[in-house]
Amino acid sequence: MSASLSYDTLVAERHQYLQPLIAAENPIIGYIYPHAPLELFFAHQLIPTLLWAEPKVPGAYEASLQTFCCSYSRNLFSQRAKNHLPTLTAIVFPGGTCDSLQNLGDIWQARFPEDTVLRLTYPVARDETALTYFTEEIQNFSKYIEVSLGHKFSMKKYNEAVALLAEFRAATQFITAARIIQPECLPYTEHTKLIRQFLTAPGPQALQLIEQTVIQVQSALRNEQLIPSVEALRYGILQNNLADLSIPLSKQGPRIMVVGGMIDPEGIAVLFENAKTSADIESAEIVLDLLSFTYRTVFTSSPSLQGNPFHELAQSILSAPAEPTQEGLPNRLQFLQHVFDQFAIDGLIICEQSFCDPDQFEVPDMLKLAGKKKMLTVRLPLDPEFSDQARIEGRLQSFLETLSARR
Amino acid sequence: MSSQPSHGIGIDIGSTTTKAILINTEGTIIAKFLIATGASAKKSAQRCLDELKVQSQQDLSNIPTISTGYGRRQALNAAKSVTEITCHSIGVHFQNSEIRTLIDVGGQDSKVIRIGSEGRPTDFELNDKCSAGTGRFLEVMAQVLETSIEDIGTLALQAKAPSIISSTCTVFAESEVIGRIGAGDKPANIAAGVHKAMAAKIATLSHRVGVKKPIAITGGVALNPGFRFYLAKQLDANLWVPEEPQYTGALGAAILAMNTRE
Amino acid sequence: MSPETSPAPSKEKAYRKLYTSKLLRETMTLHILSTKTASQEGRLVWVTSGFPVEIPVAFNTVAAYPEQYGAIVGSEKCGPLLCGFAEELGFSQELCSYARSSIGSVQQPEQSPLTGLPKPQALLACNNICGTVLPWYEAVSEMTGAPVYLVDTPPLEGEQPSHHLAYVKSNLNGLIEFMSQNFNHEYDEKQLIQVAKLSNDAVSLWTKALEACKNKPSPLNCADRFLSMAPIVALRGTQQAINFYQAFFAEVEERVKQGIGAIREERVRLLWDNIPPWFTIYNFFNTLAKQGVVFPADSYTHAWSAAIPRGEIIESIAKVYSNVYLNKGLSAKIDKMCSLIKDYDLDGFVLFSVRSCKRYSIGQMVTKEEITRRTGVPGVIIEGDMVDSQQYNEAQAKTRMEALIEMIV
Repeated sequence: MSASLSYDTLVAERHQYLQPLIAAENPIIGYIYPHAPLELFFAHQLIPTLLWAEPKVPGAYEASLQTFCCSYSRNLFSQRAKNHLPTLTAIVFPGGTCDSLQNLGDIWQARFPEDTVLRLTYPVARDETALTYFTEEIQNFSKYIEVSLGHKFSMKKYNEAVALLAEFRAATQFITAARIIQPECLPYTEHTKLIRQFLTAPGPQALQLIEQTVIQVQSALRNEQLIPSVEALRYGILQNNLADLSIPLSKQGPRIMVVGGMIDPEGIAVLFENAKTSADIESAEIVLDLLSFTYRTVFTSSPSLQGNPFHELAQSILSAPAEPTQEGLPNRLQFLQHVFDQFAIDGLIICEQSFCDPDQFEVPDMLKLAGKKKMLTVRLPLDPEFSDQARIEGRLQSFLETLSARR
Repeated sequence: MSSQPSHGIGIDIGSTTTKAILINTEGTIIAKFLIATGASAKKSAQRCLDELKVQSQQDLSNIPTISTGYGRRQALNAAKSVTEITCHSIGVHFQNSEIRTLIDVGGQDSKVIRIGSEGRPTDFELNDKCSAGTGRFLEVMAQVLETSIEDIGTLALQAKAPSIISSTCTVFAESEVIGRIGAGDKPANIAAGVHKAMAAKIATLSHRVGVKKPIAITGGVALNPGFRFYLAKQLDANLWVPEEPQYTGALGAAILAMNTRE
Repeated sequence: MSPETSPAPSKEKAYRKLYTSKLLRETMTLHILSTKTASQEGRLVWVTSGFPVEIPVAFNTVAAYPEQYGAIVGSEKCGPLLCGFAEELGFSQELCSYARSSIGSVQQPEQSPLTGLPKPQALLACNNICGTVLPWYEAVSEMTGAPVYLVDTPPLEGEQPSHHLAYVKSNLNGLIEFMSQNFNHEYDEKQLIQVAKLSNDAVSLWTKALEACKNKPSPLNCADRFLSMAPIVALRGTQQAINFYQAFFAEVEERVKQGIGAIREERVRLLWDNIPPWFTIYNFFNTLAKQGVVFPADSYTHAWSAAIPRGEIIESIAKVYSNVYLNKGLSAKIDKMCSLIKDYDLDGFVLFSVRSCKRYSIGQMVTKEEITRRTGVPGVIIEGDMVDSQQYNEAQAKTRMEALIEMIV
């Protein structure tokens, strides 16, 4: 990986992914919060695209949002104001996940009345009553899509989408688990790119690329007879049962983990590679991230084809792990402790989205836990524009230098 | 087999000033130079090297060089760039191996570094994005108080009753200071209030890393006696200051350069 | 009109003090003492300001309010100090200053006003006011070991759908179970109905006092309401709250009858939006009072003016607490402020943009344009914070206020 690896190329690539779908005049629905009912959108003959923050968009929010609105919201608003978003049939805002996005939905509606703004409101609690609420919420949402967009729910399309998404999750879960055991099997940049590609333009094409990679990774691991361990680990993560696993970890370089919320994993990959080159520590690897768009999306359980679709979707979405938009800090900390213990993490990169409440509230407890394990940590105050990229890379470089000095 | 070079050069390209040092195997400083960074980090780095050449009367082209500081990647002739965190740590350790915590307050950044017994950093914390708690903050406050950055610290030490300045946000504090001037507070008291607020900010940063004594302070702001006084009070500890604190990063880089195997 | 219309300089202060402020102080001092006793007896809960407090009160627990404690921290001007303690632990300075100062006071009680709030046995959060309350209480739970119970009230758009009501109801039933288990007290519906009645009585008196401000001159100014709202927040559902508001309302009525205003000379009537800057509350409103500016209404203290409706008690509580001001969309807020401007005959409005409070503040730029479009009165946005004075620029606020007044007079 060269130091000239640039963020601009990545952005250009993203637009390319979506282009064929736009050209084919498929109705596209944009969503922001990653835990959205993708299968439901497909069932209504809509192609869901995750609306990523764009690093290069000029700020155009000042007359509508205060500076303390989360930087992710500000970025999305600027993209819309500058017409950088793809043409969308509708845009879905999450309700109840955080205050910035909650209010952004209202402001969007007021500022861009020509847009079709939909809202799906999530419960924060995680119990049976939340599941019942969310099942009905999704059902109402489905009816609303039918009425407002004139797209009927198709059971056939739903079943196809369930299969597509289940394959996506299984494949990316495999890759994630494989990289925990042997990060050299696939560069983190590649890993994040595959996920990005699929979430931008989900479909058989993007899935095929992932599955080809799975085959490559499998053949690399087969020689070392690691596949059963990868599967056991994958299953352990899904069952939230890491404590009893025995995992054969590759011990080459410093093993690094990334935590944070709606942070662009590909952006982090670029910054990390640049810092690594400067610090001259080729062996350091990001072995796992717990970010919203990668780990938390990938390790969501898939709906079963048997049950009621709305109930199954609600159950699937509410299973997204490690999200601080849900109650249950003690559970998340316990999980983190297992991860630290079991995955032999040497260093932790903590991403803090500027003015993101859910991210920022969790940081002190993570620091405390990492401190107990004598793990090195670095905090990255980020906005999606990576406005002070040089400083952030400097922080990462210091972090890597310190890590290598510790070894 | 490789051998250790007999000399090393360190260049610290900071946001305000660029510093360069040439040392030999005994760790003796043969030449050093400091210049304002200005608009071009590249030019100031070259100017420093030229000056080292003049001072030392030596051909520097084969001496390993390591650059550090905000503009570290701008020094084209440097073999490698290493961050300030590592260089300051090594630079301080070289001068006083007892030091376990280093507080470095520069123009744009402030950092707190825990130093291991080998002189390498073991943990660190940096200020947030804004200029709160950096040299830039003091510079702006000095302008408002119509004094110089060199004198504002001495002025603060003359205070009888420090004014209360609550903000360390440069923009907000500026109007707070203007407000105190309007209210008739003495400049010395306001200056003391400014230093106290800044010391509190740095103390918070230090507590995040955990302060282990003895503590050293480097960076341009280490020369400011008012800041040292209030920070020592906040941390309830003596602060050790190297003779020329602004050269610490360049010194660390030079030591690292000399230790690179060829 | 104010009784003093003569141009002769008056010796009277620009701002009139309420004589019930003494009773207010006594009531709140007793409340603070009762929280200390309750903590020792193992029956103290911390609650958020929009929490259905009638339920814990019906379980004979005493409620302490960290947000109210934040107001005290702000007024005592130690916000930056306490927030700093939380920042040392790693909490970002971008987070809510109620949360930061509360966490700071748990970390360093000996350096906090009143040595912090007494130790809680449970932390009860309702997210009808914002999403921050849950992570905040979860952080406090990690520090104190007290368990958290969340009453989840997802934000509403328009009418409350039946599945939403059912969800909140089951959350309240869960709360009852949680309280029974943690406080070894059986649920008694009659007791809850009685508490709800006491709560309604206090709310009714409070609402009457607020509505009396439609009179000219207004009997109450912003700071009056912000201070005397303490019992409606902290003692809702108790006889003490009713006792206080009876005396308070009597004084307000008396002022109205005699034509006495909250300020000496009322020239401009404004609406206030959001939590006030506690660290400068007197200074801010009294300086404006000298210029004849009064605030007969605000969006904040009106948030405690909804009574629990008749009907099955849990359902009624679920309805009233789901439909609070901050749990509704932007258009509901704009509607409310427009009707306050109309009903209280106001000349303009001030939107205080509180950095800490994203739920309350984000959207104010749209709000400002829309209110002016609908009502024709001008408004201004002032940036700042309620507790963290480091985020407030007095000179900037002053200039903006003066510009607004110049637009009106």
